[in-house]
Amino acid sequence: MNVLENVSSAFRNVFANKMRTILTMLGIIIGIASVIAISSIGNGSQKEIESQFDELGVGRMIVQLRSNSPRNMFSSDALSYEDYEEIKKIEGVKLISPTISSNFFSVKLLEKGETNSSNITGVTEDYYEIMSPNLLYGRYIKESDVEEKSKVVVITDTTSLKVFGYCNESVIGQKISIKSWKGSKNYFVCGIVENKNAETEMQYENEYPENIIMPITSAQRLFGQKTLTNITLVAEDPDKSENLSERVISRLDEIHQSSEKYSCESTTEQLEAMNEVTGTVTLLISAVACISLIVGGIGVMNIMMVTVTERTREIGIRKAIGARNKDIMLQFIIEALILTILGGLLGIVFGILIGQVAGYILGVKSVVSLNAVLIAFIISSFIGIVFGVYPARRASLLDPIEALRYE
Amino acid sequence: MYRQGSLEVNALSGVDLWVKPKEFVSIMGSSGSGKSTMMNILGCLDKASSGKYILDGIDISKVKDKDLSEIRNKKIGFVFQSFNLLPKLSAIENVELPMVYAGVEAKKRRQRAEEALIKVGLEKRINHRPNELSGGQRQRVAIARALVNKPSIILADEPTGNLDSKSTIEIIDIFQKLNDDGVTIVMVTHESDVAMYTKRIVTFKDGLKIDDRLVEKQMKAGDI
Repeated sequence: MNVLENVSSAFRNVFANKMRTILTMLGIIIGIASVIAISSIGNGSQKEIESQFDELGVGRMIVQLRSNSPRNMFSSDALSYEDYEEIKKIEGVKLISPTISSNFFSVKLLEKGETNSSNITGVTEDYYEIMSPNLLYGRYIKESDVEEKSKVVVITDTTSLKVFGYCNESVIGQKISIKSWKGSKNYFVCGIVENKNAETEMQYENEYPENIIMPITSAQRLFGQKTLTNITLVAEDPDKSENLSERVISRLDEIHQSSEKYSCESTTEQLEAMNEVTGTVTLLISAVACISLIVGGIGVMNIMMVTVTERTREIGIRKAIGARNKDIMLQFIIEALILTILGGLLGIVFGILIGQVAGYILGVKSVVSLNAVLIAFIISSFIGIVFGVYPARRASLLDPIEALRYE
Repeated sequence: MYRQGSLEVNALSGVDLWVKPKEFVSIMGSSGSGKSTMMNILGCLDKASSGKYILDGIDISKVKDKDLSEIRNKKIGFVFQSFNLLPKLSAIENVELPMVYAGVEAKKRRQRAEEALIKVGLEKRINHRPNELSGGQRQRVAIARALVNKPSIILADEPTGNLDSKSTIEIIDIFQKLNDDGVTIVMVTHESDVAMYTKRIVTFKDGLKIDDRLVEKQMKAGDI
């Protein structure tokens, strides 16, 4: 008896008892669906974290005051422009930009007369290469802007749309108004970059602040503050970033005559650490979901045992007319496989749907990975075989005489 | 020797039976006489604890258990008292089943199954399920199934036991016609009037063969 014929006759048997089939598959469906849903949510949040890091620029290092320093902090410990100039001299630094940022300013949306909060970052020329944004129009901040404290800003395409109602070449050179406690000041738009997070921000409408970049010196004047938020740098050799980080910290300690007050961390390390956390959590919950798969498998085995008993006579007849033990074995394994594979496929579909709904509720994009689907499929087939073998073997070893006598 | 519970019972002993090709033999005996055991051994469902069984030149006592299914498939056709058709399959699918296990291709299978059903006069009901057929019709499906792999022998275990007298005659008629065409048949029955339609009657009692004689004047079911 060939496999194809076995499959079609197994389908007939499985569907002869629809209610029982559905109930049996339910265990597998729930198990697979939860694994898929959990893994796609986990996957989605991982992707989201990655894209946030991507925006920060992977591979760069951030020098800042340690928030968890065991020492007392003094205002003299704050990073200064001079620190930046000193670190710039350290060998192995490829790109470096001091940054100063603040969230307490608002931008006037000229056309609509509305204002929106903004996230203003003061930088130097190197920042362009560190972040490598996609420059759509105009130019980025130049060294001369920093020297001359130029009143120029780089805005994102989404800000441009909100402020001017359009985003094209003609925005370059136009004025944008930034409001502080000292009153409004006008800045000229010198460049427009692509907002990499536009899609995520859309979901939250206007809650996201406008990202605005300006020369660091202009920002210092606007904020009325000299101290830096942090210093961002990129190592010449990423493999030696750890070594560089040590040298940067010791140089800072030297300048400030302090210890354990500064940190210099690579974003790649942070990303890896974050990914490890989400990965572990996802794996843990998936493992719990796998338990329901095992329970589902036992359900399949149970029902297969019942089926074998119910069909003892059929097995006897089949054997009498020439079915070999392996024919009977194959028949019942295929029936178990149909139950689990079909359950697995339904579980995948439900899992994707549940993932979407849960993702929507949690505000996380659910990303279904092909790997998870393939693994779910393989697991459900595996369960079919593991939990189908015992009942199938029992069926195949039935004595035909006894089986024929069975009422 | 036959094991029943913890007690070992000699179901058959010292039985010597020789069935020639094209014979139509009935085996008679009351319950417990050993005739069912005899049928199980003849049908390769069971093996004798000692002694020899040669079927069509093959020494069955030397065939491995796992190869017995092939012997049953190719050399033996079973007809049971309770028909033993698969309820979910149509008449023709039931007849096709032995060929499925023999590995006959689908097209050829259908054709041979149809031929077999025509032979038993059931060509109009090939797509009916067993529960849509009368007892006599079910038994005819079973006979078609037994025939379809062209076995060396047909073993019928009380084939008319569940049938009314009219159907009984019809089934006997089919057996006789098949026998006229050269099919060897061994039939277990406890009804002596049914046995009178066969060519030879073997009687068992308490595991022993007590009588073996040719029927002097075989009755013809077709005459009634």
